[in-house]
Amino acid sequence: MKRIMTVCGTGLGSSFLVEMNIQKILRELGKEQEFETCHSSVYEMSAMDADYFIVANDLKDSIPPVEHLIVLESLIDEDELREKLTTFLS
Amino acid sequence: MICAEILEEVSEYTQAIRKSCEILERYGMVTGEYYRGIIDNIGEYGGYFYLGEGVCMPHAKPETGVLSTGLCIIKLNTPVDFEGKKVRIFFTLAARDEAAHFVLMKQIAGICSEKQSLKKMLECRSSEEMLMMMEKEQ
Repeated sequence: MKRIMTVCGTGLGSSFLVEMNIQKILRELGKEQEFETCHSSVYEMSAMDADYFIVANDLKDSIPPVEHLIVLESLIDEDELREKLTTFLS
Repeated sequence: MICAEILEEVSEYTQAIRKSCEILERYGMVTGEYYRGIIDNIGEYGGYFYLGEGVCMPHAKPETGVLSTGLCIIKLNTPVDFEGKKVRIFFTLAARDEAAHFVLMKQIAGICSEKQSLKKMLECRSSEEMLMMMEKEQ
């Protein structure tokens, strides 16, 4: 099972919200068995923690280099998240 | 606990955050320290709690003065500038621990992720209407 981690400043607000939306989209795509989700803060995360990372545009330069990164312009635009996730995970 | 208030306008965004922290403090959800905690966070990470679509969710770590989990929603009739973005809704969150604020986050996600709900929230004319919308998301 691959792991998707959302990252924000404190690790309890925005990242949690985006994680919920990801779970919803994974269910829609029928991929909830293939991926697990989690959330963290820029300070606590490491590149080893997950296979895919999702971060807001403002924080993309604050996290260590990771292999698979999705950068979101809006954290509540489900269409943007769905589109980027679908492209990324297919 | 959730509280809500509608303000005509604020001179700067920190005023809206200050107001919501005062309300959270009045209901015993945070100490006076919490506002400072949020402002320090902005200094450190910039406007990271901007969610998009004119909505932001200011919050700081539990150890910066959170007494119990709660939320204060402030809606502005006139948008205010927040680090280059126009904001009309502030969901100021006080999170004691993850399990407790799960429900609140679900409610916020429910309102924000549906364009229709967000539009409806922006059209609310009273804090009661806003609180009723939040209740429906539970």
